[in-house]
Amino acid sequence: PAEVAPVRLQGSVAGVGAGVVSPLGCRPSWTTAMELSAEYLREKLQRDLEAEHVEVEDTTLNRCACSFRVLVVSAKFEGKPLLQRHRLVNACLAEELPHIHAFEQKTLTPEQWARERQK
Amino acid sequence: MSGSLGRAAAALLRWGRGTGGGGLWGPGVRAAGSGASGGGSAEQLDALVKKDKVVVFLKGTPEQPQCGFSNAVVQILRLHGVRDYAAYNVLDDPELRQGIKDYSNWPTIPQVYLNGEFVGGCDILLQMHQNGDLVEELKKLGIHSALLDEKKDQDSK
Repeated sequence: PAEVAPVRLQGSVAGVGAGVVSPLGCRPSWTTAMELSAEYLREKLQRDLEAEHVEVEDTTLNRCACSFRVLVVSAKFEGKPLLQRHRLVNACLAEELPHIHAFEQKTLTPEQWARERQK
Repeated sequence: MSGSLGRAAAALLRWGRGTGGGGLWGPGVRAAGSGASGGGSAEQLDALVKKDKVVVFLKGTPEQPQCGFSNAVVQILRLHGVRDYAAYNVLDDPELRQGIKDYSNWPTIPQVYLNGEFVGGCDILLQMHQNGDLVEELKKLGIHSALLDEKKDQDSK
């Protein structure tokens, strides 16, 4: 089946806010004030993990319900095995994750990110 | 999102369901009905994850995964020729579904345990598969990955 291109938000995006309605109705009503949007998640991850770079992709339309895929690049990941890195991200989004159906994450140190971009 | 991980993961997630077929899975793979695992107390789950070397909690079964991420875990294990593993279907048992998340302090399914230790979900297993860590971890458990044989064949040509 044809896949709808996922919405990608990097940096601030005008127009994303209380006016956005999810077709699947997965966002609870309290999120109109604190929008569970890709932008919101991006800012929170960037702030709490002192990230050099964060990408948040709303993959809801490709999955069955409220879903996100994130990339976080942070020096806080240095020396930490994958599981520990993912737990840091989970802890950062502890409030939001119960409302998210599917969550994919990729966690890189700044060095790993630089190497990957060279490929 | 840049990087090959996204594309590889996407490919695995698009694999057809039920590609296992009866004979492929062998007697070791089992789904826990609601009776077998009996809910999700920490003690019971602790025993469950330690009972077998490779234990996975899925949505659905290896023969019929009900979720792309669970399917990806099944396919990765299949690639490595791991046949004898315990697979528990959280969709059969709501207590198990919540209990295993509390036990591992991990919010999502699938969950992979090696030698009684929580390893991670689909993302982590995929990265371990790609960077060779999974072959190493299986070796520590006395499981010889099928990919090692493939590599040997390729090297000798």
